Amino acid sequence: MSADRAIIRILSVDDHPLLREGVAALLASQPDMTLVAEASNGREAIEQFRIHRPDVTLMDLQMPEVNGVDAMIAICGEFPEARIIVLTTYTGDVQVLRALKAGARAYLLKSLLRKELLETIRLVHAGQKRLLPEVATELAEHAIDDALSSREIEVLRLVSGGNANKEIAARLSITEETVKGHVKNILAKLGANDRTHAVTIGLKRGIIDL
Amino acid sequence: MGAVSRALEGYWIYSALTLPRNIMRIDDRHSASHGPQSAETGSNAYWRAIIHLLFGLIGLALITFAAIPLHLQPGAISLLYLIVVVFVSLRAGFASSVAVSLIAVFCLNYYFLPLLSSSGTRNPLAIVATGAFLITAWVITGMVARVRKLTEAQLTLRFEERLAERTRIARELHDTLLQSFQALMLHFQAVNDLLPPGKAKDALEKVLDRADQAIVEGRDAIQNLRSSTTFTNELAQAITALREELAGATDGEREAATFRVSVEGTPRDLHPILRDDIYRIAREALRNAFSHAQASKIEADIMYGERRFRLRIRDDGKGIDPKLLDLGRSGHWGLPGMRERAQQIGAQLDMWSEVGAGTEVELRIPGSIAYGTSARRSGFRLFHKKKEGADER
Repeated sequence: MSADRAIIRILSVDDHPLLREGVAALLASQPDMTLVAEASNGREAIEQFRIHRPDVTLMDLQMPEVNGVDAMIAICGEFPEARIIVLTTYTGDVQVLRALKAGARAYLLKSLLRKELLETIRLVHAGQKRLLPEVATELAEHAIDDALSSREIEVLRLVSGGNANKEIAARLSITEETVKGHVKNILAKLGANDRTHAVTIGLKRGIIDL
Repeated sequence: MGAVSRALEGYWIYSALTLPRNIMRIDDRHSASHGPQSAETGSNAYWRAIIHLLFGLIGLALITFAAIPLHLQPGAISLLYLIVVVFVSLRAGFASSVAVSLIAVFCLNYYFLPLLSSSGTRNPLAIVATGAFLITAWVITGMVARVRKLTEAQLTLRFEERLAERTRIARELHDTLLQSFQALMLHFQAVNDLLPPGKAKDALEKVLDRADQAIVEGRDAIQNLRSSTTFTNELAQAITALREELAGATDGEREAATFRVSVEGTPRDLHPILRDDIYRIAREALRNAFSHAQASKIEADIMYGERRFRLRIRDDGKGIDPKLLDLGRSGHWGLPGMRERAQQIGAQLDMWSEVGAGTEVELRIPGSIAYGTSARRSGFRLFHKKKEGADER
């Protein structure tokens, strides 16, 4: 029983099968880790978590059906002790913040998995949190910026879909003047020159995704 | 007379080449931080339209008073008048053009082709000629307005389409290629962990590090596709930043060239797609200068002119063989790519080079395309200026 406790039980969640295989291959060579289950979307992740109660969960963010952030919120709501590591391709301070608020203990970039994954699993399992320097820098850069309101994010998402103010107003059942006000606020908060620039910044910072 | 007609002709050709394109929506530009600046250029454009209208009227007067002593045929005079009407419709808009055509008809009837003959009877020839003149003038004016509207719509659509297509490609690349490579790296790492310490393991480790770099570069390229190359609207800053990237491309033994970026005029907003393309053309030209030209001095001049945007990149290097310049040997110097890009955004790209005398690349974009505002567009609203703020795509 005491030998069992030393082994870290892991749940791997990613919609890309090849990546799950890669994680499995990497974990297979580690005597102190074992992969107990896999899931390909947020819904499956919640189910598998309930069944297996893994020590550490590796969570992708962009997945079909239920995304990573929603899955984390559900899991952490049910199991506050859950230790979740986010694996993703892009940084972006808002996305990082959202993941941390949802309960992530670490935020890893997929480009650095090869070298950082195993160590991060051990650290998080030991109860620590972990942010890589390049992620932390990005967080620090925007730490005191005004955040967009949920309505403004909604407007920005519609702008990114190529909608004119009139169409946005119709979709959100508000007046065109209100939309213009929102757009103006968005430009000011993001320091953007025009709406296309605002979309660019929104994507880069993970406020919206495509 | 000759000088006047030459000037008119010049204007006419210039106008035909620079049909206005409304790319950005005006309301946001006003509410953004650059608001006061665009408002100012708006009123500039308004005055320019008035000046063009005055030019048109002066043209009418000159033709009229030159034609009286020369005893020109009424037919020839109406043709000259038509040219003025076309000029005004191109430069100052629909309403101004109609007004000018009415004045032209009045001059025609008053000086050359009286509607009433001296005996007081109606002159049927004059009535037919007047009618023909007005119909021709208005059909041309209407066609100009229509073509202009279509071109604007088409160009905006093309920019939007390209943005959408780029986003789709980026998403596809991210979901397939990039994810797969990242996954494969994990597999390789697992194999690496299995290898006993030694030469093979070290070599594999080195290769994996290189692959990591390549994947990060690929990821960044995809992200750039997804959004925009230059996050700053300041083209000068973006181009200055290229120096660090490109200076590394020079061969080790030679000292890196000195690089200077200068800006003329007040920087103006450019459409992101356009800015990207300008940036990429600049990048290619600079890459040639840094890595092939063996130059000691490289300069980039950016000019935000009232009428056009200009980018000029010069080096004092060994130059490109003119034959190569003409052929643009495929895959070399990236010349065909630069030309293609320039053509797509409606820009003019010229290159001069001589062996031993350096190379100069010049990119020119008419202001109407580059800044997304135009004199003609405001001129179109010469008679209802207040509507400007209400413009929505």
